[in-house]
Amino acid sequence: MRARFLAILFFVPVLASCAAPPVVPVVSLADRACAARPTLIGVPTLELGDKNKMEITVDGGESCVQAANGSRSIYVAVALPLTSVNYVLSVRSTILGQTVFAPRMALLDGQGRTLREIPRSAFNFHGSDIYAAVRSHADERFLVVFSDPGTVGQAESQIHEGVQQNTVVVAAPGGSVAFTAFSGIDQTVGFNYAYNGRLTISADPFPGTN
Amino acid sequence: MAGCAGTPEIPYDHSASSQIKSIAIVTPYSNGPTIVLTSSVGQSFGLVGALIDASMTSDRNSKFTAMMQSQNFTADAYFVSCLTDSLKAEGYRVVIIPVPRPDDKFLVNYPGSDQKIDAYFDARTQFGYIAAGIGGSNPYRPAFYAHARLVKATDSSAVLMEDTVMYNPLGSPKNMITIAPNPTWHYVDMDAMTADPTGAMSGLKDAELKSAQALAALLK
Repeated sequence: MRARFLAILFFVPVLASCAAPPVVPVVSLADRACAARPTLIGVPTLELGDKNKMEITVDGGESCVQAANGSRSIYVAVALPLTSVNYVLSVRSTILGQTVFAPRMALLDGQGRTLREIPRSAFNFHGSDIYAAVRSHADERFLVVFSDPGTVGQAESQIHEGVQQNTVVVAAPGGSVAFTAFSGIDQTVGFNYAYNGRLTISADPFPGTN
Repeated sequence: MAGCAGTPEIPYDHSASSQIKSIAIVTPYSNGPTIVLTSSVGQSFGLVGALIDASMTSDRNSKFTAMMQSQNFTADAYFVSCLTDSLKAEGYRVVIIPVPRPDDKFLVNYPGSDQKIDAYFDARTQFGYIAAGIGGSNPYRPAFYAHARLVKATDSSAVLMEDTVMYNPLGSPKNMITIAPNPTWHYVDMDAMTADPTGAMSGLKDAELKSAQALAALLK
């Protein structure tokens, strides 16, 4: 009897971008009135630990700042954990379909003075995220994640590879036989840097080493 | 090549490590080329399939080793060269210290030097090509993996930075820097790759250079 395929029972996508909902990139703040400095009053406080990470959807309508050169940036501000524990502060911007928030960040003291700036170039890809992390400094009280005006509007494409797994049931004498079949994925994924997207901010206790 | 998740990343704190001026690169661990066909028919057929796959992987690795030899190319030395240049570009003085690497682990003790060294750069690497599957739509593309750390010369338990870079990752791995492959270099099968040894080495060189630059940039 010639075997034949009866069904493909399930499909496991391995590329996160496959499952992301489409989000239209926001690439202009032309109609927005922006302040000179970010507002830090009343911002939420980030708590220590992975379970307290903040997942923030940025739709492009958030408050914005305008630099002296006229460039504008959306921003999200949080107060840093009140703790004596050393921690790693990380910011992750996730690609949503064809849109990704273009991040840079600054760390400010309690008076709102900028102590450290982490440029867009310090962010690296981590799979389908753009990611940067820094060690905590005791004198820093606020994190502000800005959109990077030099990057917004740019498009990028990447080759993503992966493997998918299918369970295949084949008719056989006296019943059926199931086996797992693997196949490759090799595709080009395009996305746009934008003022909107999704951010995940986390403060995790420093790993065992110093 | 490499798992789905790296170990927790330890970011470098430049402002707290401003005394780090000279870095010694110890010989990275490497175990020769790995030419991976990620999803093959053999995977679906248990132990027998796995044995056949292992045999075919070994054959591909041997062919790639022969290609490297024909091109007089040493991937490990090229990575050290790229890393040296990249660290120098970040303003560090760099010395290279050859050490034996018997296994795929970071060194426990570092060798010391008659030159002044502030920190040791230790890396475990893997290189080769990866195809996600069979057929022209799943070509072999260059791949490079490096799990690296920087430790204080005066106290090797003090890890100043630790991270993993994967050029041409599969899927969306966690806790590691990923670099998408350059589309310039791709081969539909091993025959096509072996027919272009110069190009195949160029693709690998690009992967090593991009990975070294990414690691050095962590020490800004």
